[in-house]
Amino acid sequence: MNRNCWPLFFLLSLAPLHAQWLNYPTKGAPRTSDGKVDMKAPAPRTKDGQPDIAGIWLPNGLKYLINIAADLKPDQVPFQPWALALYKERRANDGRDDPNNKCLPSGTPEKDAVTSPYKIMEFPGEVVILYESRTIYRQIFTDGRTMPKNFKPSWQGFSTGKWEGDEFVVETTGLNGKIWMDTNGHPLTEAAHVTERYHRLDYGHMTIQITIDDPKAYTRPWTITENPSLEPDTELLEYVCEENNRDARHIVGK
Amino acid sequence: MRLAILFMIATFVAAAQVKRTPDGKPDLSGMWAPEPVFSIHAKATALLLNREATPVQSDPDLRCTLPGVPRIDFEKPFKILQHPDEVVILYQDYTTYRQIFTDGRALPEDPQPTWLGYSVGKWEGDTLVVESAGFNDESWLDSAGTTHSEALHVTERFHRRDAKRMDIAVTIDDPKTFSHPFTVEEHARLLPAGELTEWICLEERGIQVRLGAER
Repeated sequence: MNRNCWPLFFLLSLAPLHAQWLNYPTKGAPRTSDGKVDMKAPAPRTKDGQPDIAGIWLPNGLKYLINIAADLKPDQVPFQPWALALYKERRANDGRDDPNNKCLPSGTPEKDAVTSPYKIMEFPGEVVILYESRTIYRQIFTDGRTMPKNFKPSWQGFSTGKWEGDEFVVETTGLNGKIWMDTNGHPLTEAAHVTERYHRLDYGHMTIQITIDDPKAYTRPWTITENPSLEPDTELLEYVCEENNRDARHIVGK
Repeated sequence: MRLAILFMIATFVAAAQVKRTPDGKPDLSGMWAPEPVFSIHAKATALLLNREATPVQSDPDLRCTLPGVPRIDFEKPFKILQHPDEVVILYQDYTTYRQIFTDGRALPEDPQPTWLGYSVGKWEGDTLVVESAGFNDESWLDSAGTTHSEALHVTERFHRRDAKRMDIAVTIDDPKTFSHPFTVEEHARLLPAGELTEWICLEERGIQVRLGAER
């Protein structure tokens, strides 16, 4: 197999198996006359008037998981020299050292692009995202708290969220510096500040505008936009990477 | 008689301290710390149908897969979040979660077996009764190494006794493993200022452990 195929092979092994779960009609979903969910109906609103971003969402294809900067020209990613060298080394090695290959978690913001469904739920004081991938959750606090001084840097970091017009704006710091933002290996250091702007455009579509502000790895902040779709009438399944991980031994690099 | 009346008053006062959600159910939300339970079977009268000891090396925790149910209830703090249609438990352990559907759906009939199973819940008075099935036969019921079959059915009864305390009665029904169903009483206390932190098994255990198990 062409060595450049390995990342794709790995990604395909992540293909969601949610067809196995029985059909659970999404409560209150607008439907067309044939019973299908009307993905172009208006976005539902919460009691406070904001678009309700709750629901099960799925990234549209592998594009941003392979390359978070897929919509940018190569020279539009403002790498610091060492970060560019590291990125090139990771690509040359078929992503051998990607933490994902060892069943370590995807960090923020790679998780937004992992092609398994995730479920956004809103509770008093926090928004929770349940990821099918790795059966892991993320908390986004909306109660006005700030990052504790003794916060231990982590893969998902410390996230707070607030509404700005129709956008749910999530700010994340406290990241652990080990994160690959995609399988190509765009690095992210512990100095990173990631902003995600979730905007539900209509019933079935959302954009997530992601701004990477990481002065250690990039010379200026840069922004990309992802576009997940709603996955109606389904549920999340359990996903345990450690159960049968066969990737690591095959991805040997140079 | 006087004692009985006092006890009733005390119970009533304790129950009155428990907030309610807008739909009138007791609000179980919050961070909870369980009293550790090492062996679920220690005090049970049910007989193990297969008394072969489980080797410590077969502990799925050493492979960093996922703990089973109810083992995951017994060790580290967890946070309960409550919607009318669904209760979510976020566990410190493995930064993993369980979804408990309270929208009236039934348990799936022939699901793909999983580590944490499938759960549905309903309210019986002020008690949230959670029924779970669809487990694989690899998880342990506790840290002592009590194993089970895919026929396992777990019932957890969550009752917030007062503002600070939760009683969780866990009934294990697995006719292929135990002579009859038995129940373990578990208790958890509220952690008012507590919060979850990320807990990644491979990092906690060291990756070498996993690679060792894989060879």
